[in-house]
Amino acid sequence: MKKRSSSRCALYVFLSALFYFFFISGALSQTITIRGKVLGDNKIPLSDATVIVRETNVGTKTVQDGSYTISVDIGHHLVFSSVGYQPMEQVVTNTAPLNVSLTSTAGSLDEVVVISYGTQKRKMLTGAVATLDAGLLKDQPVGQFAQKIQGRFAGVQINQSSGTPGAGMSFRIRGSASINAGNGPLFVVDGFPIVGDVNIINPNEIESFSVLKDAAATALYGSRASNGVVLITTKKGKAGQTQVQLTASYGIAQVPKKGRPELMNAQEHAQYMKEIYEDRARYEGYTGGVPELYQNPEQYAGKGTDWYDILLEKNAPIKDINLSITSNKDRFSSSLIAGYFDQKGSVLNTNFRRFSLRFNAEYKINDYIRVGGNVAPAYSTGQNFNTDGNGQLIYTAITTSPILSPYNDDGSLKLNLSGPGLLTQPNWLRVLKERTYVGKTLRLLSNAYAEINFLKDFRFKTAVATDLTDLRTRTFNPSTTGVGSVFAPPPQIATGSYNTSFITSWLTENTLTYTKKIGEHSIEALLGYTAQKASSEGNSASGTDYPDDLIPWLDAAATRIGGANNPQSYSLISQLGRVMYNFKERYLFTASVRRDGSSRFGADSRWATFPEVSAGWIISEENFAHNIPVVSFLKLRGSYGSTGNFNIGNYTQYGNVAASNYLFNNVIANGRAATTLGNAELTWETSSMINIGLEVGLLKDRVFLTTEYYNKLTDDLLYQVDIPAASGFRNIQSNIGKFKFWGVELALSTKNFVGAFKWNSDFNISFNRNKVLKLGTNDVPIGGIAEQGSYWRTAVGSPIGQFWGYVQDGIYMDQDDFDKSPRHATYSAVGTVKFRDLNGDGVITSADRQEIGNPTPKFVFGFANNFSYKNFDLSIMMSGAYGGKIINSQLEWLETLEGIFNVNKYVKDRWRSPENPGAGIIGRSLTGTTAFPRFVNSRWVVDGSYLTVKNITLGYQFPQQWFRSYVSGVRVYAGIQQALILSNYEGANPEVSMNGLNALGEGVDGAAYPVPRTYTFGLNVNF
Amino acid sequence: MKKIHSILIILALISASCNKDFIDLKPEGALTTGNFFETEDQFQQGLIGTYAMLRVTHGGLESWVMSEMRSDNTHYDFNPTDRGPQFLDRENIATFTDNSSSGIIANKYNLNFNGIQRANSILTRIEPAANISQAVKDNIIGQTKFLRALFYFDLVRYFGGVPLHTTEVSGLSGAFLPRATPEEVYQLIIADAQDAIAKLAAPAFPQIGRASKGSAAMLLADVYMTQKKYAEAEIELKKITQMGYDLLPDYASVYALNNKNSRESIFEVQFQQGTTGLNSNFIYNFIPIGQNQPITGINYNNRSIGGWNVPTQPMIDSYETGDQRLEASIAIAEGTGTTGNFTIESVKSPAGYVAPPGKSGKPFIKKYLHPHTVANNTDDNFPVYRYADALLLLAEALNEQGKGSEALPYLNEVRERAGLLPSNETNQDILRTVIAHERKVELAFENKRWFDLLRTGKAIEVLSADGQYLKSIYPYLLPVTFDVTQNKLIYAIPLRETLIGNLEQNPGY
Repeated sequence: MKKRSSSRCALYVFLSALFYFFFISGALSQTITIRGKVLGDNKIPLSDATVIVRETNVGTKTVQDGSYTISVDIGHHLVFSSVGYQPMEQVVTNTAPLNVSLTSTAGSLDEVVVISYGTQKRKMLTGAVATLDAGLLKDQPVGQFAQKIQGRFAGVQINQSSGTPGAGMSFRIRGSASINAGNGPLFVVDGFPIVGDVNIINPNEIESFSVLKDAAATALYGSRASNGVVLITTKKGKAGQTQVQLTASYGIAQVPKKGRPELMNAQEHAQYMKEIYEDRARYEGYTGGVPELYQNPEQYAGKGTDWYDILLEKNAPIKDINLSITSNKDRFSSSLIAGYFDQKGSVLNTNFRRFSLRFNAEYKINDYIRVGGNVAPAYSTGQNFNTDGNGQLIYTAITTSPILSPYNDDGSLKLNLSGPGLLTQPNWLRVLKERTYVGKTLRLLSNAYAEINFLKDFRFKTAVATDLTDLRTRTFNPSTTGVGSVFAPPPQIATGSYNTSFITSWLTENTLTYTKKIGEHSIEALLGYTAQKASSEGNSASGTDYPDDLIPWLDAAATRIGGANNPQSYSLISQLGRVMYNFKERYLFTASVRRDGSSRFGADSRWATFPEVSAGWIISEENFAHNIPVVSFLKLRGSYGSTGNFNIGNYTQYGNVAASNYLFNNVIANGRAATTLGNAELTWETSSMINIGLEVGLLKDRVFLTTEYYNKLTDDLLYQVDIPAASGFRNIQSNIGKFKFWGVELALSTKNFVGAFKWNSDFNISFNRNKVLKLGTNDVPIGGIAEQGSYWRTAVGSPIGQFWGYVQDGIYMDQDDFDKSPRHATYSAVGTVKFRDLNGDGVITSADRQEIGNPTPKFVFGFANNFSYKNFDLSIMMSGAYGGKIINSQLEWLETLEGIFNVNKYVKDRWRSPENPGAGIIGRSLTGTTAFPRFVNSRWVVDGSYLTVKNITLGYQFPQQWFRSYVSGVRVYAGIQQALILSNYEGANPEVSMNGLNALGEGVDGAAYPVPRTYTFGLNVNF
Repeated sequence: MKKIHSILIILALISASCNKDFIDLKPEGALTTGNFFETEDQFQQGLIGTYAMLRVTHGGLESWVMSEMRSDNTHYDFNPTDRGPQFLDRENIATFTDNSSSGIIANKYNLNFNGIQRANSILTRIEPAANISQAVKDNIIGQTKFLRALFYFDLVRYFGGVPLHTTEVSGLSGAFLPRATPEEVYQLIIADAQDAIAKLAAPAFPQIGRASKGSAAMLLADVYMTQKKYAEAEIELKKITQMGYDLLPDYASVYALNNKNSRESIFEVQFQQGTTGLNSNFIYNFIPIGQNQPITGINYNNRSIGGWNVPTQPMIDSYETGDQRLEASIAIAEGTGTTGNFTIESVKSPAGYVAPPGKSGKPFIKKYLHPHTVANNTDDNFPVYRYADALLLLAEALNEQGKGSEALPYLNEVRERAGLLPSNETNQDILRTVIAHERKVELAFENKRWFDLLRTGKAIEVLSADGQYLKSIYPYLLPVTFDVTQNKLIYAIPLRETLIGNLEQNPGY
């Protein structure tokens, strides 16, 4: 029944759209052909300027001498625009040539930007919206658009926490955070809120980005807008033109030497192992002697294996080829973009490939009706292992002793690597070469829409969109590698798995817009209705007992397990409305409201309303302001509104009853048990935000500064409130908790040189702060219980996600020091690590832990510079962060004192006796004490500030006359991605974080996939 | 303007007609608590779900770590190549250096309460349920109360007084309860066990693994013994001797796969090998780390799970000469190398074992080692109550009441099955020691020893001596280990519970 009613809803909506489609017809009027010229500064003819009929959106472009020809109805308006110039509008009254002179604008205040459910002139915005033309990003050799827009927006932190091909990017807008409900923004592609991974989109399909930051900008996305919204608009045909462009680039990725762990070489490691045995004999009554392998460390001088290097693909190629055809003529506009991206990973035998196609089309049936649609299939495939994180491949592999070689004497690969005392490791070279871990994703985004203009001022738009994803993951772990774990070294029985999931989402959206200008009053009103439903289902199977390693598919497995489908759905239904009003384009006012109902919440609390009001005052338009020298634009704006967050699992409002089986008479008995507690009152997490913005243009907007202040209070945090385990459950999904966020953002755009040598700069910086005000019923902190492998604690009164642990005070240097100092009941001895007795009770216990660092940067910034001179252009993009701390969790293993791993070079300066106490940092290897230094402590916390030169690209546009007429432009360029990292952090990537930008668990370097430096060469040809 | 109106009307209509159903989605792949527990079938399923918790509460790692490894029966094979937190946790419990942050101790607490919640759901909802006959209700209630009593008995002995939940928790409000006193917990256990005895039928042989009147009586007797109510215990235990239980002729065969739920079984946790997820694997925790083939016949390396619950040499030595239970219970894995890099070569008998030069022998628990087809996936059940346990408890109950000569036949029934001469000891003090020793070897590695030491008041004395011995031979045991005090006879309330539930911590933690 439910299914039927939901599809019935869709049907209603669609039929109502069709109805209006045919019902409304327009009147005819007289069409003429008009010619003219478009001139710029100093009467220079402007080529490539756009001429569009406002009423029909039909358009053309000017040619070399600035002239144009266009068919237009008398009484309609022509809009002339060109990059860097203020658009101009002229009404057509007769057939006389219409010549216009455009005034140059240093800024882009009249540019029309995409906002929620519509567009608006930049200068009329009352909310905090940052936009970016994707044209600026075109030459970067990366597979994901997120990599291209790092550092580009004030208030938007985008980190590349891992170099894994096709993954590893995370977003955080204005430091947003939630406990269980996620803090990633909502991505909206061409008006469609995306359900799955947004990174599969070919960056070359993207025309522009709009990042919506405050409640004024996001409130129309209501229940999903708390973490900000990123609007992505794909390429459409440019008016009056047909353009064919081929772009191709080839790059080579290398992992820089800097940032690799500095581990012992073979000789040093043999010496270290030798000493471990010597100390055991000295202190622990060990009598077995030093094993032969370690007796003569000198024999390994200059030899041995660099296990980090072994894992790497030295010169990993990266290819990106795109063909785009865009056209907009005769009422029909279309764009076709085909892309092929092929990246070999910097870790052996990993890769990512994507084939993508996008077709956008729109047809103007008459002056009143437009229909259009787009379809964008993308297929990606890649191989990746569990490379990242504590105990995962890279973390473990580098601890293999450098004494050991992956090869036997005859050149064949060893099965595993062992030595006296050492933990037996798989042969990591085999693990990488012989395992299968393939993911395949097929994604289809599509939509269709119709737009009807009627009664002069009204526009009705109806759209239906779908998003389909088919995911498959296949693994095979042959007997020679196992699953690639040090705790299960080969030989192992081969295992495999095959998992699929199928995700569908559909959306219907219907909006009615009324636009009216009466004298100096402008009003635009919007009314809308949308419904969205997303579902997923899958299958998972695993196999073992393969007879051999010959068939890497489940077909060969003697034992196969699995078959859970895990069906999931959620739905959302919404009504929305907005009024934008301005007087004299000087006093701006907007109010909007969205009402959302979601299947994810309790029956009693399913609906919520998200209102917003905002206003702006363009002070520079006032008479008194005209006399202020230098200042060309000045605007003050403010907003207040509320948004929600519904990103929790499905069905959490219900108590789940799951299978729980037992046996009677050795036969399975099917049982069931309640496994979660329901909560019928579960509802949204709500954020209310104040935003104040000031925009200042100086020197005819050559210098343009935008500053924002925001203050956000998130209440009713969706939170799995911990409850006593004696209830039979661990937690209940509830709405108890309160966070406060505030911050300041600055964005400065300058045109430093505007002559033949041009230099533009964009700088932005953001300061984000937060504080926890309430957590659950008893304000019990999140985290901070386990002492090992758990790095964060979130507690009331502190910022979210602070590092939590012991404070190290060196080591107990001698008996005297030991006797005088507080000690741990179990682990302390002379020469072992000394932690500080923070509560002063004379002993070291788990109560002696405190906040030992804040992983959130004090500020993040981005700095883009573009230079051009004649046919050359150069762009340099930098981004950075200051003040965030990093915990290098690899140290837990790279400083182990058990003599089971290879360790950092400096471990040789450890305590061995009171006479030979080492550097006072690393303790002794006494059995029974060596667990303690592995507990999270302050010495692992280091400064993670950095400045990264993300990209440098130098391009050259060949002079037009060199080519035949059918080639209209050729550009070549060379660039370096991830060119330079300036940081005190010793690891490779200061953006590292094994949980991405999850506020509750940032900033831990668990040996991530390295981010390579990529050298690239590219060619763009226009036809 | 008419058109606008009609558009608005249609929009409004769509909104109104679609809203309610469209966003009312229920899980398709699972049931919800709202509509469960209505039919007899569903109560039976709920009961099975409650039994299922036994697999972790009474057949899981926590039980043998917190009782057997804490006792003098077993220690662990110190593995210097792995100092991960999960391993330290086990070692700390074995050496009395545990604290309230232990994950194992928290699991013990949490899992028993999971079982109690499942039982409470049934008990709260079954009385008002229509269309279920009283006989069926009684049977379900009897089994459920037995299980709830078993879970609480585990908790009260490990933790002292705990929050006493007797009805279903269905939301935030009912979740927070303070600790009850141990006496209050025992009152509930006794009442539940008595009700279970009243409502359940006597065991029917062959048994299938469900709780019977015998299981409930045994539980009640065990509770009485713990409370030193020997006369009451004697009554229950004597009833059990009339229910048709018997010792199997051969000790080793008690654990054989074809003797699951045998005449000797009063209650045991059910496991089955295969792909249903109902397998056991504890033997893989018990055998030494290494390539297991010489022991299990299966090519597998139990590197990350093995080497625990290792019988100590004094344990091996404590078997009387000729006791058939030694070879049935313990074996030696002989091989070369050190722990973590040990190569198992062969399996030897523990009787008088001396390692040949260049080799070493690692003892391991053998009584649960039986053929299986897939590594780490075994068929063995885990005993909770055996008839031999009942006989020895009865002997103890009688001796404690000064009826030593009455106790002897029960004691000797067990001794004779083991191939030993009967005892004719009637001195109460000596007989007490004899019975305690008999329980140690008869019930070895069945998670009884720790509770026996507690019940007989010997824990501090015996375990301090055990600690002295172990520290003398294992240099990795630091001076602070084996500080066995009164406080250490119950475990810490898990840190999380003291923080979230504001529960009072046990003294000394």
